Amino acid sequence: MNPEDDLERELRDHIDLESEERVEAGLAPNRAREAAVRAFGSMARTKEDVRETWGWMWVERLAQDVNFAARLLLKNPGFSATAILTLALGTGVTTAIFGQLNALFWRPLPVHRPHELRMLAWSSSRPAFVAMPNVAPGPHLPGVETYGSFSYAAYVSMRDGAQATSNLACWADLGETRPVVMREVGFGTVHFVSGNYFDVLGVNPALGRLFTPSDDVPGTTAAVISYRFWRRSFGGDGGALRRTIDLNGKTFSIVGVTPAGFFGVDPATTPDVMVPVNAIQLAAATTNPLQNPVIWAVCRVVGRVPARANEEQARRVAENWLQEAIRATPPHDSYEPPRLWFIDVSRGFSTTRDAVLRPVVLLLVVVIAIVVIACANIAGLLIVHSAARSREIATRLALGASRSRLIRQLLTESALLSALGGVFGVGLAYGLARLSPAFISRLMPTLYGSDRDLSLVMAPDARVLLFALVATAITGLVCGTLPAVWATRVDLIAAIKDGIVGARGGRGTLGDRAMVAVQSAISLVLVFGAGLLLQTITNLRATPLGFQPDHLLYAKVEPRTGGVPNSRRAQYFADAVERVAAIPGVTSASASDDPPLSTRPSIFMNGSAAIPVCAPGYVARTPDEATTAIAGVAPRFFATVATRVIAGREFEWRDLPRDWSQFPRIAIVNEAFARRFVAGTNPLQQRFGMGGCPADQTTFAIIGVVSDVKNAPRDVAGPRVYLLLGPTGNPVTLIIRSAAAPERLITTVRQTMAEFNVDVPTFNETSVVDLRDRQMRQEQLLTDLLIVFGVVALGLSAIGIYGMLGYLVVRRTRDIGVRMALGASQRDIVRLVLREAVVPVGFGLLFGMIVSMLGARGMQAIVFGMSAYDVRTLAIASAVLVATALLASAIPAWRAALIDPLRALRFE
Amino acid sequence: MVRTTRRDVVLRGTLDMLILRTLLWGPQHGHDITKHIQRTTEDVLQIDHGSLYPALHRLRRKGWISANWELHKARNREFKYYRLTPAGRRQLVVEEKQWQRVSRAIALVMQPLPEK
Repeated sequence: MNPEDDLERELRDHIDLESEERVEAGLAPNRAREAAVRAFGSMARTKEDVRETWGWMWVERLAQDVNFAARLLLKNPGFSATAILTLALGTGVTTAIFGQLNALFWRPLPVHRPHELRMLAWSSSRPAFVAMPNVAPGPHLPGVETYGSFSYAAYVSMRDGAQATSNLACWADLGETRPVVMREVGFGTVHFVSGNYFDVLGVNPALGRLFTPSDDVPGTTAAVISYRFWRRSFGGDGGALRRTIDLNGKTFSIVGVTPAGFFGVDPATTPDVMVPVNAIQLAAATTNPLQNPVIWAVCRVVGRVPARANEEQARRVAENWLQEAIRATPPHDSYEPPRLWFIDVSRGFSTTRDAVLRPVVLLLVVVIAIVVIACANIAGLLIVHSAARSREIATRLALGASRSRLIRQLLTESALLSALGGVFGVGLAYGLARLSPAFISRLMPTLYGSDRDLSLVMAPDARVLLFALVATAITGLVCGTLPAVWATRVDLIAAIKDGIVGARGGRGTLGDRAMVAVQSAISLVLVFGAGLLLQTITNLRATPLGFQPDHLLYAKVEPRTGGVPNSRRAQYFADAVERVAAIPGVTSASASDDPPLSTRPSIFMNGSAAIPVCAPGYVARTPDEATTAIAGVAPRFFATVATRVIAGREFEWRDLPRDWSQFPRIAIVNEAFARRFVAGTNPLQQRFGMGGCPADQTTFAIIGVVSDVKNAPRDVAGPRVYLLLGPTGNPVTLIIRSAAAPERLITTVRQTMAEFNVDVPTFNETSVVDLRDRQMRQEQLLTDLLIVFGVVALGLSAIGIYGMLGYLVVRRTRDIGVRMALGASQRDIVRLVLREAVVPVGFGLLFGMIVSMLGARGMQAIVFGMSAYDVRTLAIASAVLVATALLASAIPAWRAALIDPLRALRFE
Repeated sequence: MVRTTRRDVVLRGTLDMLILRTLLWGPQHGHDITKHIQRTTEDVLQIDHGSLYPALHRLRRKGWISANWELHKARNREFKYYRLTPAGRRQLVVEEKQWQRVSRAIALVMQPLPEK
């Protein structure tokens, strides 16, 4: 038998027997029963006490409460749906963002025993053994600038010499500098890896096999493709292993597929195809970089040091072999032997983390703030809700239900709400996670380039689920506790008689006023933040970059791959510019190997690298200071990009030599160069040398000075030298200024270039405005999000204020009626109602201002062209909040003013 | 709580003991137990129903008594009968000993032995 029925029957039996007894004593049957019932006392309380003794009581009661709560929620589908949706959105978005943080910070690389992996970097104050700038910058260590790449000879020396203490692998990402053409798929990212690379990382193939050292030999034709590339280009077909792919005209056989989620060691660069490092020749210009000891851009080195080994010893052994490699082919100049660094990369490269930390944390804070507002709103609704149920609650209390029992019941209701919200929220979070790589790459396009897919995978992970659970529990508690405690503090008699909460008089309850204050405070902070970002993005847009990006189109060409020999390349560029300039609608055209806003090449002839300058009379304080960036530009470059020529002139067609074996010794410099190297003189009469002193200080004559050009508004332009664009193996960007929208020209440009030389591919056509906006995409995205969140917060606050006042007016209808009957004017009534909103909103404003000022420190690094402590913005944000509050109060106040005193007094 | 007619409160453990003791004479239902205690204490102790049933359920949970719906022949109706289990018998012995110790102690306070 069901224990409830059992108990019910048992107690009924007792009363039966009791009344029988009284009948026997001579009472009339109906009177006897009444007396027996009276003597028994509260049936409900007895039952409750009995149930208390049942050990599994809480389960039973929980089921009961949940059942009851579910019925209540179903009775108010509108309220329930709103609450659940709000909570689902809240937990969903916070969990998704937390998942990102989790993936970036706590999830180790998807490789075997990631904590044993080390990235190798080196530092030296006089790296004369490197043909600068053929080296990649390394990570920033405290007080030390490092380099992150090695020559192949140095790598091999370390790999073979330090075998006993560590296992070192080499990999190289050639980025866009050396596009690798795959006939089927266009451009893909290719990594060159050493034969032991997969062994060092401890990765197993998803299909086929991965490389072994025997693959990494000259003439190799083996290729491994990534899981993603396999799915994309071969539809996940196992037959891909019999297929070949074409890399820069050479055929490679696919031997294996890496597992899903594998991205190498740097999440910033995800390979589509991996080939042995001995195949690097296919991407290099003329000589084989593997044989060149002064090209240090070949290998990034990642190593595995067994956990039980002595890391310092392993480092010293490798360092010794690194220096040994330099001693084998020492440079002419004196140099400082490099110091080797072992850097823990078990969680991926720190660059990724640094780049997204601030925006992602900001987002997390903002979303949590929204969730708190939403919670406060739901709590406010629940308070009003339970106030409406005060008669029911009072009745149950009067019938002997204990207060704690009722609180538990009410908490169950809010817990059910938040649990449902949490479940949907986690679902939402995983839905968002599938989009998250795209989202993250939008957050950091400056670092990764917006077209690059960042392959961070957010897999279901205990930490993320725990976070969702805690978030759900907290929202449940925040939403539920206060209203529950509040609702059960009723004055029984008054509540039953009036059906309204009479106990605390006509004042708004402290509870919902506190909610309004919290909402106002958070809204103010968000609106303030949105205001700061909005001005920041405007400032960013308004900052002149030193050239005019509108109406510019970029298109890249790479004649080396197309078989144009070195001797004819300069002519090829000149002809190409002439051809596109002739296209109708093109007002001007030029070319450069490093145009403004172009993506920085990652390795090999690093375009942004510094070249030492030797100018007469100039003495550098530090060696770094005596360097300049360099770019090759075709004639009419500055006219085309619209950079101001401050003094002298720019390159003209007549400056091009017939014979490029004599490189023209004329240069154009920017203002930053002029300020640093030829300050106080007429730059047009100056000459300088490159390659460091002592060089011929009269090599280059300055023929012009141009404005500084920046890639991003936050950048500070450094010295830059422009030389004529000569024969180069690097891709060159054709720069086209059009009269109309530049995107429309893309097909025409392609066609023209194909007619000109069908073997040279044209690629990466983009409008420059697009490039500029991509650089600001992080800020733009943050601004958009914060504006959306700010509006949501304001809306939620408005609902909160409206709810509080609306409830107040309903409750005080009679009181207002009396006042009006006694002669209060409508204005008095409006003032009466508004006054109720003033205090909580005022408190909220005050708190919000304090929090804004505290939070401004975190925003200081994000804002641009202004201070994060901007009082004007804070004032405007406050005004917006006050206006919203007034708007939200207007309807309840209006309704109060329209109360008919006669009807109000007859209200009961 | 067990209340006497003068609303004296008897310790909760005492009620358990009284119930166990009452069931020593054979299975009884709740109403019987009240009546029995009332009769044997000459109406000094009246059991509050609000305490009796929770106590019965508690004792049952501890395994000292068992409960069964059984037919009452005279009334031709089923009642829930409680009966003492072996564990309950042992517990009764323990409680009786305890009670004797306590009541002796209280008696010593209330009626000190004359000093020699």
